[in-house]
Amino acid sequence: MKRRLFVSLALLLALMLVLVACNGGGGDVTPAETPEAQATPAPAPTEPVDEEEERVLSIAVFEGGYGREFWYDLIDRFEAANPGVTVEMQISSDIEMVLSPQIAVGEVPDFMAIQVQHAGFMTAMIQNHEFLDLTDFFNNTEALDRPGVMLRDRVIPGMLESTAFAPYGDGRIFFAPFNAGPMGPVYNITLFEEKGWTPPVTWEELFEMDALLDDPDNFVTVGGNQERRAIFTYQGIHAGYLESILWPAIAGAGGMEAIRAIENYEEGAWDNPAVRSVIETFARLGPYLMDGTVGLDHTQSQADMMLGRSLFIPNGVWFVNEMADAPREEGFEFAIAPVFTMQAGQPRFVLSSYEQLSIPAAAQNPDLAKEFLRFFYTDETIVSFAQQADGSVALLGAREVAANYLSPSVYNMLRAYDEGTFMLMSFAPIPEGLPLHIPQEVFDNRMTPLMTGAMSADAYIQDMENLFAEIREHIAAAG
Amino acid sequence: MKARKRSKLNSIPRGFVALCVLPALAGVLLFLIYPTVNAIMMSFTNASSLAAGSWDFVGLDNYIRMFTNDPQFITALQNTVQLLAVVPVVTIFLALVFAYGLTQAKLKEKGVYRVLFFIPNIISLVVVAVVFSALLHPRSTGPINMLIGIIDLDAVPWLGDPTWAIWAITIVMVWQAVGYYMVLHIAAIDGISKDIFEAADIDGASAPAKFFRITVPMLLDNIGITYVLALAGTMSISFILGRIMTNFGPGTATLVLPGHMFNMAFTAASFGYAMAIMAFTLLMALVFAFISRKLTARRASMFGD
Repeated sequence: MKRRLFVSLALLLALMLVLVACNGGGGDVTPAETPEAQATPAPAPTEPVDEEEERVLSIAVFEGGYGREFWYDLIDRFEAANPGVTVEMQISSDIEMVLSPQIAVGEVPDFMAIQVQHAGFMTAMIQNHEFLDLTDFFNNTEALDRPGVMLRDRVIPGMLESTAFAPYGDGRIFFAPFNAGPMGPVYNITLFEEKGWTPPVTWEELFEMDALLDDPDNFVTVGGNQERRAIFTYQGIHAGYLESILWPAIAGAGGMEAIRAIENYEEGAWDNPAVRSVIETFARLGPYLMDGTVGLDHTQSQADMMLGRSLFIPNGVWFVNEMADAPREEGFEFAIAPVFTMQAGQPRFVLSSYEQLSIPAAAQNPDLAKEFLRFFYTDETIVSFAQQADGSVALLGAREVAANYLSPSVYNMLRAYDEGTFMLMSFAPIPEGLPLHIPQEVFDNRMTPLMTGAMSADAYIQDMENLFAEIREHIAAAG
Repeated sequence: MKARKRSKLNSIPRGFVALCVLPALAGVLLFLIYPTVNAIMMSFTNASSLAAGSWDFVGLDNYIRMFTNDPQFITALQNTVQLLAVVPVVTIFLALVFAYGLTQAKLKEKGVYRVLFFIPNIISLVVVAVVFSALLHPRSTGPINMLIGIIDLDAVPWLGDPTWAIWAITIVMVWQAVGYYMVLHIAAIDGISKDIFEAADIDGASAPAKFFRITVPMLLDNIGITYVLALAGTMSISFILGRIMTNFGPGTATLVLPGHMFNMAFTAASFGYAMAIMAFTLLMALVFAFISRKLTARRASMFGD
């Protein structure tokens, strides 16, 4: 009996040791070892480096349509230029889920390439003033490849002053621009040229195009079947893509003041004639949508548009890289039109996509993170981003520097800036803990019901006014 | 008799048993009880997703907001209740029918059918969601719409229509889970004495009569347990399928409580409010489970189980 007890206890002890050993290892797991994240391999040092000089920069990157190759290249170049520095990267298309548990226990990376709207914790960090102030960095740091030129003057004018990069409305800069590219209704320029069509300028011209599509000569052949094209589709279950249409349409109808009013949750920001006319126009779109649109995801709807089932789809320059391997209508070439206006002669706007770079205030290596950011803002990065991701960095003259490296499709799309006015849109921070995500309220929760007739334009506008009233109350209460 | 029992109990090495239980107990306390209590406490605050964020106690504000100022919560609640009312009942009923059919029918290929029915349960839910997103394509050229077109039925918009989308997800949930519960019920039916079925055959009972008057009553306790399991499964699977197949849309047509909690926690960064939704969902699941166990337990005792 005693012997059996002894054996049992020994087994239990062994089991506990195994458990303790497994648990002990858990604390040392680097973020890069999680399945969702990938670390860049540490380079073999080419020459001996003093231990004091060995530094590690941890960065976290949202992997969007531009992919990850650009980041690997940037890290390789930065490590080669800075012996002793190792960059550990967490990169994921679901970076929100990868980082949230770390942020919740106070572990922040040194540098982040994550757009505020891609992760809830980013909004919370703004609310809690947890980003490093970059104002002096931009004003007083010389560009690495432009002696005498301050970084502020390297960035596309107007970006650093916007709420997207100076979120508190006091001109202090907390985010650095990564890329910039036009967003809007994407169309197949080859098809338009072949048919002798010009992209519509007004919404009425867009709706009138629908009649042209009844002509069997304008049908598209997909999988051996003749199908009637639709004038418009969007990314169905990801209605947020409609921002590239909604905000420029509102700017066209009501000017940038209308956008500023919405950004700052002002009373009447939605319930005014200009914005109402736009919302009522969206409510008319339902019958013109490509068959099945609202049930599709972004990949399905984008693939359908490229096959010719729809003339327009809202998107941005990353579309080219994201769908590089997708089948397409013969001769398909991407182009972006400025967003349609309510009336002829109104100004036309092009919403610019942007991604934000930031350094958390609690970063362990803020100076190294600033060095990395300074290294980022060079012509070499412009070329690399064009080569690796077919995109354009948010630096002045990037289009010209990258001209030889961008695909004709992306170059075509960048020309949208020549036809419409560049604009940015970003909501002012809301008080911490208020359970609202404004883009989700504007697009995901309501836009499909609005377009399919399940929600009236009046109800949409009233909902948004109520929501903004609640936000104003909380802002006032928060002081 | 009593004295013998007592001596048996005394022979159990209580200290050793306690020692064996200790790691598991510590695990439950650390990874289940502590986070749950912590989450419930957080539900009374306005906590955000930041460790350094200042938390204010807001009393019942989060719970009041859920019912007075959050239409998405009401939609999510309605959808969740609909799924909890339909999916476990249909799943358990079909599982019982299939289990009964496979145990009673004299089929040579019985084993093949068991495997076929069980296969959906071993496929990753993400794969199930992606495959069904393609199968339920809302256009008339979608695979399932082409199939129903063969029998001259109109194409169904499936995931592209607010009314159909929740039913499309319901169908996928039932399809995915029915094989698992079928296997559980087959094991339970195998436990029923064959004499009972033979006696019913001699009395001339039909197959439906044997199903409803012998199988179901004899399995009531088992059905009660599988129903509770199906409730829990419905709650978690609805989140995965909803997020992948429809992103809880169109609009909020397929939003469920775990999905709303996820959105509030990770998109709106409002952990306090998300935890309030979690606490409510937990309470609701417990109430559902308690009621179902009570009902089946009472009926099982009526049948002398």
